[in-house]
Amino acid sequence: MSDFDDVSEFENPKYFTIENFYSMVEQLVEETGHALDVTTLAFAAVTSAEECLENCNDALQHKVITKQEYDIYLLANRLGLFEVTSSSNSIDPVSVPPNKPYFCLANVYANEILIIFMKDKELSDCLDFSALA
Amino acid sequence: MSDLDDVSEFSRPGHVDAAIRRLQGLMRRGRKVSLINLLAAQGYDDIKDFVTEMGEGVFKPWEIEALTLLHPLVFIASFPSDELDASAIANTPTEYEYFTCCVDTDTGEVTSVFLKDRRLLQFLGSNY
Repeated sequence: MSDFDDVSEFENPKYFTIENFYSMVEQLVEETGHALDVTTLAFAAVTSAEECLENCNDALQHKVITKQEYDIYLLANRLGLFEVTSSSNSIDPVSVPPNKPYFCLANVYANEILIIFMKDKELSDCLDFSALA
Repeated sequence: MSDLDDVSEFSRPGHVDAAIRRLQGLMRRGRKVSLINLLAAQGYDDIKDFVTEMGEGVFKPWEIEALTLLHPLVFIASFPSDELDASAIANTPTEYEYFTCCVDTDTGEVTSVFLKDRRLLQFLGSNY
């Protein structure tokens, strides 16, 4: 392969790090006063990058999220930071994703809970639960 | 250490299967282990200490054996629903493979349950 074929530098992998994710969320908090809304997190917590892009484009178009949040969600998906599932009473156990061993819960409705598996403990600090209150 | 000394591959799955077989024997006639008792017992390394603390006669012999078998295989945490965001993760046990949770619609209490094997759920009482 010649040097002209190698385009990996253009992806600039230094931006695709969890540290960069944290600083983007920190900036979001500074500018808006809130972190990532747990009710919209499921947009990005899908396995497929294509599905994430489609979900985020749709959410942006309908003004459910801002461009700043859009960028953060796409990075979260790229880094595989979150996996979201929901639970109601009497469900089967879900498998704990081996690469996302940490969890937090969000009470959506009286008998439904979002289960958010996370790659890193500190990620719960990036989530805003206030919309559920 | 020779290859013959390394039994780690055999111990864990065999242990869970053996525990489940024994629990199936104990749990005939629809018996279940109360989540509340299992949660309370978690504070003790040895179930015998928990039983002693609670008082002789509180638990039937089958309950004590079931608690002993489930103690290392199930991890339970319980939170008031208004503390869920704070509940996060400080004590997440990372060695369990399955997870489920339920909410008590009367009290708002949320119980999260980690399991070494999904079959273990059948032995747990639904008094969330």
